[in-house]
Order: sequence, then C-alpha cells, then structure tokens
Amino acid sequence: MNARAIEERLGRAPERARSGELWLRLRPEQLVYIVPDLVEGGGARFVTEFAAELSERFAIYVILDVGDDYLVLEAPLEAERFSSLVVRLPAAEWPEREIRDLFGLTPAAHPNPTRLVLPEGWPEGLYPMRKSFPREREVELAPPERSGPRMHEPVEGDGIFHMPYGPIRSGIFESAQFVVDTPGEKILGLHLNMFFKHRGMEKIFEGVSLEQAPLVAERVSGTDSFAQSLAFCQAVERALEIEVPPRALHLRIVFAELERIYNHVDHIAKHCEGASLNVANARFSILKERVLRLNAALTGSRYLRGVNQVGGLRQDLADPGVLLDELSSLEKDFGAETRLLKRTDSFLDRIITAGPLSREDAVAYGAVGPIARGSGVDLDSRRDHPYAAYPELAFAVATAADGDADARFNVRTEEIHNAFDLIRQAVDRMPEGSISAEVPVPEPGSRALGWAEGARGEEMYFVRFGEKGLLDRVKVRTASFVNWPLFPRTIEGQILTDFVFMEQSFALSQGGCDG
Amino acid sequence: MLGWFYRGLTSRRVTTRYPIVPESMPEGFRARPVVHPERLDPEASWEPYARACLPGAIQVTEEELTLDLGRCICCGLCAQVPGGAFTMEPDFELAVRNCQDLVTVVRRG
Ligand code: SF4
Repeated sequence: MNARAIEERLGRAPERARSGELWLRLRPEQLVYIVPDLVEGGGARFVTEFAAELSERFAIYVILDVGDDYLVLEAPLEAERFSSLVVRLPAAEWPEREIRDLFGLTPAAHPNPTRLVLPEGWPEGLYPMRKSFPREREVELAPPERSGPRMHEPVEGDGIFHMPYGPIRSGIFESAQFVVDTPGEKILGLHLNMFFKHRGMEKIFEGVSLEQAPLVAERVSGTDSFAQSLAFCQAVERALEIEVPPRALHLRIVFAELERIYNHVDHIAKHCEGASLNVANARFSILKERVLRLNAALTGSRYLRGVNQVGGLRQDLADPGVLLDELSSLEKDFGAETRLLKRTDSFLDRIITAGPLSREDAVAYGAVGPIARGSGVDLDSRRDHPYAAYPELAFAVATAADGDADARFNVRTEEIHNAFDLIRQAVDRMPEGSISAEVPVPEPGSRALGWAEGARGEEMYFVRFGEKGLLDRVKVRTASFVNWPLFPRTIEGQILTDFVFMEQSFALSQGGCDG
Repeated sequence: MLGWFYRGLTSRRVTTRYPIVPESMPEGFRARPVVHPERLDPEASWEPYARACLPGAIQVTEEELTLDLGRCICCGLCAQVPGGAFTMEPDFELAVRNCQDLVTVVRRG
C-alpha cells in the first residue's frame, strides 16, 4: 500500500512527515475499524500501539507498516479510555495492557484486561508513565495477595498439573517464568509471566540529554546495544532533520552487522549445548568470543556500547585492515564449523520439526526478525524501510518456509554469511570525511520514528520533544516484545524434552521485552 | 559425531595462562575511568564532570569530587569533558574486596 491506496481506502490522505513515514490524525473511535481494515484488507502489518501524554490530554498512537512507509495513526483522547483492537488484532494484546498499566487508560472491551508490566502489589491507581508521577518517586509494594504463579485460562483435567519453570533458572541471568500445563511429557498449554525486571526504561529517557540518551537505549537490551542506539539515534536525527555524514552511515553498517554475527553465532552455540555437542558448542563459542574481541579492538567496547551518538558516531575505524583480515578468517572458520554441523544427525534430529510456528500465526501476531523469516514471512527493515547505507549495498533477505527451529537456524546461518559480505561492501565503499554532524536544539513538539533491524528483528523507537527541547516521550518497541507472545503458540503440543530448543531457537532478549 | 571428535583433537588450546600471565586488552578499551587530580582546575567548577556522567558515578560538591567505579558504565563521556581530568584506561581488573575501595575522592586545595 502506498499513500494513494491509503487515501482510497480511508477517503483521507495521510500526511508525509518525511521519507518513509506517514501520519494521520483520527478520532479515537475511528481506530477500531480503520486499523483492522488496513491490516486485514490492505495487508498492513501492525507494529505497535502506545500512548503519550500531551499537554492537556492523552493520545493513542498506532504504528502500521504499510509497505514502503510506516504509517502513524494519532488519536487524541477525550476521556481516559479507548476501544480495544484486540478482538480483531491479537497483536494488540500486550501493547494495550501496557498502556493500561503505565498510563491508566482503559482499553474498553479488552478480553484480558489484567496487569502485564507492573509488579503484583503495585498500588492501584498509580500510573508511572504519567507526567504527574516523578521519575525519582519510590513506591512501596504491598505483599502479594495470593500464592502460586499467574495463569490465564489454564488447561484443566484429570492428571494435568501446572509446572512453573522460572523465574530463576540455572545459567540464565534474566527472569522469565513459564508455567506448563502437562500430564507428563506433552505440553498442553504454556503461560508466560514476564516483566519481573521492568526497569521503566521509557521513563528514564525523559529529560535525559541527547549526549546521554543513546547510553540509555543501549541498556534496553544488552546484546542488541548497537541496534537499540541506532534506532534511537535515527529517530532523533529524523526528528531534528540532521544529515548524518556518509562515512558514519557506512560505519554503522559495519557495527550493526558485527552485532548480528555475534548474536547469531551465540545462538548456534546454545543450540549445540542443548544437543550436548560439547565440542561444537566450544568451537562456536570461540568464534563468538573472537567477534567480541574484534568489537573491543575496533571500538573499545565488546558489546559496541558508547559507539553511536546522535548525528553519527563517536569513533572512527582506525585501520580497516585489522577488521578485514579477522573477518575473512572468521568467515572461513564459521563456514567449516557450520558445514559439519549441518551434517550432524544428532543435532538435526533435535531441531527439525521442533517449535513450529505457522505463517498465519507469524502474520497475525506481527512477528519480526528471523522468527518471521523462518516462517516464510519475507520482511526485513534493512530492505523494506532502508536506512543508513543499506540502500547502496546489495544483499539478499534469507527466508525459510518450514517455521521450525531448523528453519530459523538456516535463516540465521545465511544471515551470518550475508553480514560478512555486507561489512566488506561497506568498507570497500566507505567514503572519507567526518563521522558526525552538529545537533541543533530540538524544536518543542518535533517527533519521528526511528528503526533498525537488529539480530532479533525490527527495533522501533518513537521520540517526541517537549518544552525546552527535552525528550518528552520515547516509545521503545523491541523485537523481543513482539515475538515473545508467539512462543506459547509454538510450544503447545510439543514435548518438554524439546523445550530448550524451542526457547533457544526464539533467542529473544528478556531485558528488551521487559523494558 | 566422529567429525567433532577429530576437530576437538586437532584444536589448539585457546585458554590462556591468565592470571599468571597478564592479559592485555586492546588500546582504547574502555574499562576504567581514572581521575587525574593535578588536571582538575582548582579555580573552576568541577560540575561539568558530574553532568557528563549518566549513572551518577561522578559526584561533585563545593569541596570535593567523588568517583565511584561501582556505578560506572564505562561510557567514556567523562574523558571527553574539556579540561581532560579524566582518562579511560584499558585495565579491566576492577574487582576489590571492599566496595569502598571502588571510590576515589579528590578534595579541593
Ligand atoms: S565512564 Fe561514563 S559512567 Fe563512568 S565515570 Fe565516566 S562518565 Fe561516568
């Protein structure tokens, strides 16, 4: 769909805010039919829904991917409630519950209007994203009223028990709880309890200076630091119309692809660990460590933190020779290990058919990243909504049709090969020149979207500047937040023994989901 | 499986002899901010250092400047403040037995 097609459907033309971004103002009651119509009839992808507090009222925003552009629908509210989209758009379930928790706006007719993000024992009627809630305020939690894990519509029956797994698990620092309904081995239902470590990242952004804000973005999800800071910086650069120098645009490709490589390699190592292939696990882990050391040598940070800044980059690439030499050696070794792994039956037997995700579910929930591509959904924001130097580079988007852990594994190995190639192209074509542009004082009210395709998929940011040019609202929608709700759907009907493969083949970030 | 067995056998050792033999980090690796008291201008305000530091690892009062490595996220912004009283060093061995040992205090005068 382009702007014309949207106009034909809605009878009104959206306004082009800048390249790749359309805006349309609506009344809140219009959202209920316009959004599902654009999604079901127009083939748009639901990206997210969120709220913001404007000077005198609240507003609901819906972001859609309409093909070449993102379309932002803005609906200022008259009251503290809005109509839920969930009945027709299951992907809106978590975003609307989050709005309810953090802003105190009620999604009317939401089928499961329960707490999502805030901890149990958080006082009713206290909404931390409202401007009247100061950032420094400490809140005393009441002791939880009931014991036992949270379950929404558990499967009941003779001999079925509910097994909580987590939130504290061996070998995993982050906290998530999976409650499995099972008579023994087969998984009949799975309940996800997340957000144990919700840090209020969106609130932390408010009022932080533009020099420091990328550091906050990096901490949204530690292993996606570069993608997060890139998406955030691009949102600000778009809002303030900053022209980033071409050299920085190319350098950003180098670092973004290095981040993709170490994440995907780590994912393969974890799969090998699950299959008890200790040598393979060790060898892929060594490759990952070599990429982290390369990152450290190039930028001073193993996880590429403190590299991006609004307007460009903080550091230049001193000697591309070091990078290119290590890259070709890594590529050769990665190829050799992967070829052997793809011939190892005890590995393939575990991942083929494990954790299947249907294309329909992937589309209905708006899945992104390798999870979507592994189920045959051909989307990649590097190609579909190009940014940085991607439009100038040639690359293919890897997809697979089967939707199982094996399909996602194949998508990731191919993406690693493509990433090596992209880095080489970016270095070859890298122009000389400065690596950062001046940052003007933000106009109050200026706002924009920014996005980046991280290792886990599309990371989406919305920024809005308020009085005195300070950050007034930052919406962070990570790939992990979108993809987690799909996890229970891949797991029902599977067996407990394969749980690790299913979880690892999703390879999502908990911190990024919790926010 | 046999393939992995051979590959394991033919791998060289990748673990190092650290800590007996020290590991060096690449130049420019940001691990430890170091404050150089002689470069702190006794006449000027030290506030810009505190303002540069997002997590509040650098605190400044009328009389003193405190650097608490326990709060530091190694971003290196303090090393970019004009005046240059901070540098980032690649020394990553930050562990101490007592968290008070992570704190450095510089007094005026
Ligand atoms: S490196 Fe960053 S976090 Fe650490 S003291 Fe300096 S400014 Fe603060």
